[in-house]
Amino acid sequence: MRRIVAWTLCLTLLLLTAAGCGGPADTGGTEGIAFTDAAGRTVTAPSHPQCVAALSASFAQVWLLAGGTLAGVTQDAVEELQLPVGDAQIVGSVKTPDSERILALDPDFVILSADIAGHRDIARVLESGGIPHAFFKEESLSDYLQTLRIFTDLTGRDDLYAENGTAVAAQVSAVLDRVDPAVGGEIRVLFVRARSQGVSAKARDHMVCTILEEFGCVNIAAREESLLENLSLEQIIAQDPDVILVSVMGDEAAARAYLQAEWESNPAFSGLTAVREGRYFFLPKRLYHYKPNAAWGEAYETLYEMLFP
Amino acid sequence: MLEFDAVCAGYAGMPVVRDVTLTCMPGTVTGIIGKNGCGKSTLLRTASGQLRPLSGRILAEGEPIAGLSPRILARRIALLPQVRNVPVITAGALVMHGRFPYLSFPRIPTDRDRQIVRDALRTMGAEAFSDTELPRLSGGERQRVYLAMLLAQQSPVLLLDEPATYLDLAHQFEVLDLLKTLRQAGKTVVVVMHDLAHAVSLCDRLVLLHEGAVVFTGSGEELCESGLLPAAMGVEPHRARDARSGQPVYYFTPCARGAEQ
Amino acid sequence: MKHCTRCCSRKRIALRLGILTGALIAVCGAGLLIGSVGISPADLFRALFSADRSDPVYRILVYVRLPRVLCATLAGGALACAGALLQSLLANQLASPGIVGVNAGSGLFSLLGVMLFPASVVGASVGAFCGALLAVLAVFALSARRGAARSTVILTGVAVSSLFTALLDTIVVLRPDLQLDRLAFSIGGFSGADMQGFLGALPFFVVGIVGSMLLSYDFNVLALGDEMAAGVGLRVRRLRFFGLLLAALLAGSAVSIAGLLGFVGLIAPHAVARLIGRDMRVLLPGAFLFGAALTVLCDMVARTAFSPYEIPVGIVLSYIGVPFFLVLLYRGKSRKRGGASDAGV
Repeated sequence: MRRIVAWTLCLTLLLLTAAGCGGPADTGGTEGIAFTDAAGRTVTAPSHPQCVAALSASFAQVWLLAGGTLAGVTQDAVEELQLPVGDAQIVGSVKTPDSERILALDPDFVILSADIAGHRDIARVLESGGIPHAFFKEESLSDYLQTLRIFTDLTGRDDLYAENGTAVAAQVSAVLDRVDPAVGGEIRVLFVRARSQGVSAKARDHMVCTILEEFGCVNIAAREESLLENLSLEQIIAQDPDVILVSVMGDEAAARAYLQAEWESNPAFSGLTAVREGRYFFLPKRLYHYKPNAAWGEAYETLYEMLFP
Repeated sequence: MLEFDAVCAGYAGMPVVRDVTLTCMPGTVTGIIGKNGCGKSTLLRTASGQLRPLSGRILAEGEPIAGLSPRILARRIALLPQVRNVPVITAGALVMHGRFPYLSFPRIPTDRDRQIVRDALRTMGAEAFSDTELPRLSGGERQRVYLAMLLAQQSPVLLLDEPATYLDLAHQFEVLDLLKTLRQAGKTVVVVMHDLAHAVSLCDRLVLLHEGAVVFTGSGEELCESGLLPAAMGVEPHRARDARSGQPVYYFTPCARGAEQ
Repeated sequence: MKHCTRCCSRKRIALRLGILTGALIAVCGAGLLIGSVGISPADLFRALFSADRSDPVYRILVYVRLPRVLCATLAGGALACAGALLQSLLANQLASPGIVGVNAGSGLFSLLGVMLFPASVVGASVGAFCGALLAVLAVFALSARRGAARSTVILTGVAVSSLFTALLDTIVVLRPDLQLDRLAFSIGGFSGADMQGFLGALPFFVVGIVGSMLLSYDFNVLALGDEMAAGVGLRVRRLRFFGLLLAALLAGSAVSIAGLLGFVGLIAPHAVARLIGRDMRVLLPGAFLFGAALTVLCDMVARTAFSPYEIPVGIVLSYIGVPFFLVLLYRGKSRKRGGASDAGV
């Protein structure tokens, strides 16, 4: 599916280019590094770019891990991840970056997130302005490694790939080695995301789902599609999961208050296996809401401890 | 000249008026009278071509109107409906709308159109407020403007639905005078009226509709003497003599209960 | 002379249209000069004439500010004209593109566009345009059975809107991940404006404007009321159909590049009618100028007021547009205005 999407995007972009919307990124013939980005486009970025803007905190972090410096970041990089971005300019919020400020930086490379609709708009502006840019995504460790590979290739810091990539991958495989798939298959997990206004189950397209799959655990929502649309307490009781994992989005206190009112105040909730056995967990935001990046090992480790006591 | 040839008309296949055969001559005012719901307005709408007759034909100037395009039809027959909008435009602009059947794209009036509009306003005594917006005019002034618009349409046949309703008495007489002006101009005027006294005094010929059928055609005097009025309209005519002119005049009183029908 | 005959004289109308034109040119100029990044006018002119694509100033001007100003001009002007058309066609002062299903239709189909073609950059825009057109055609097709009378059209519009909104809600319930796309569309804005979107919408906009200008005198005649307009030879039903179609083309071209900015379509025609009267031959160009100028101005405020963070332009439109509109509404004498129905007299 993802591949079809990527190809469609690629074709569309080709068509748009043919329609005369301005040529693709042109680096003026200087040495550049070509790679395929998360949108499936072939991008040529200059090696050792000096002026880079990252429009999402997670990828700003990866760029720093790759030894890069940043000229422009979005608000979330400073306010949520508190990244050491030096004197980088803030070029708007992650959802609606300010294209004018980005262009004013005259960047030689712009890092975009494939998951954010506003970044597609920015890409069109960058496209017409002939500024090299690429989309990235991070839903799994391999996505992260791929991004880091590209970034360290651009910065020329193989040592940092070893430190922040290879080492992290080793940590993860050490955790995976400890997993007994026979035991994992016995554990039935409900993974939900909670906001101040509601709670919904997640079956795929999330790093926790990916890890659960690798651990061989049963993600209830992936089996019971009806849970995705309408997650009622009644259904949870009927499924009686062994573990409940909650990822909190937005305001943490408000989301917890919502769960308190919706679930925890109900006497039936305390009768659930997961609750009785103390396996009703709130996942730390740092590891599971934002992209873990260099902490992928820790993310696997923490989840392992929750699932296999 | 406007002719009805065995016209049946109504809505959704249900006839409201049946088998009307009638000829209205140029230079005369024909009044259509009858009780509420007897089909007066239906007959007028059919005559204007906006309602297709269920059977029978309407002929304007001797030609059936069925096949005519709306613009050609508008050059033959002009209609003043009872209910209409009051757009925020000047009186002059409204009268110019009467020239619409003659304006082709891009709808730019010629000097001749402007002259016709000025003449129409003058004939109806409305040239003084030609530049005034319609909502600022009084009811009587507005009626003059609408009649001027009909005149500017230069159609030989004019159909008017209750032109004097909702006006105060002085303005009602004013409108009757304007209708006489139209008659003098040689128009075939057909007017639906509910005020019997006005109808009798104004119209050259009256057509009495009762339950969808024409039960009488003739002059006002003949109608009053026919003895049909109590049954068809529920009123009793009384003859009197105008003290000054010596002409016969009629006034009407309600029938005693039970005498009706 | 007991009536004020001069308040809408030709000269005054021409003067006011001239002022509106000047205002539009001025705000467009300001929109190019002012942005979240401070650039001196001298630098802008130098960059513009150097035509150097690698110059950041040139890029900002040509790839960010110019498309935004153009898109705001087109969208604001088109919505205002569509509103003027509908208010005249339906003889309803509350008519705006939303009343004939444009908002609900374009909302639904832009979401379908995103859903069915998630990778396409134009899915939402094309969907929005088709949705606007489809909704209006559905409204007309349904109401034509009853002669397309004004109240029938309005009520059918309400019904079709409700149905489309229900479908939209169903999709969002089944696919909660589309909630954000829905929100982005319904707030509207120009942060994604580019020349391609503008050029894509332009032909429809031009057809809409030229068509409605050609028919403007006929719309004036329609204001007489259906029966009377038919009496002077106007094909009422056909005109109403073309009018709705033109309004849909205009509103569709606007929503395809800007999302929903419904409010412009409601107040711009009223504001302009107060300045220059309701003669469609001048109201349509006036509404275009006013709607375009207002939208360009508000977009400029939206992207500069809290720079580098952008406020949705719809919100700014309400903050700036509503007080202005209220001043216009209450300033003059309480003149009787609008196509009040007038039984008999």
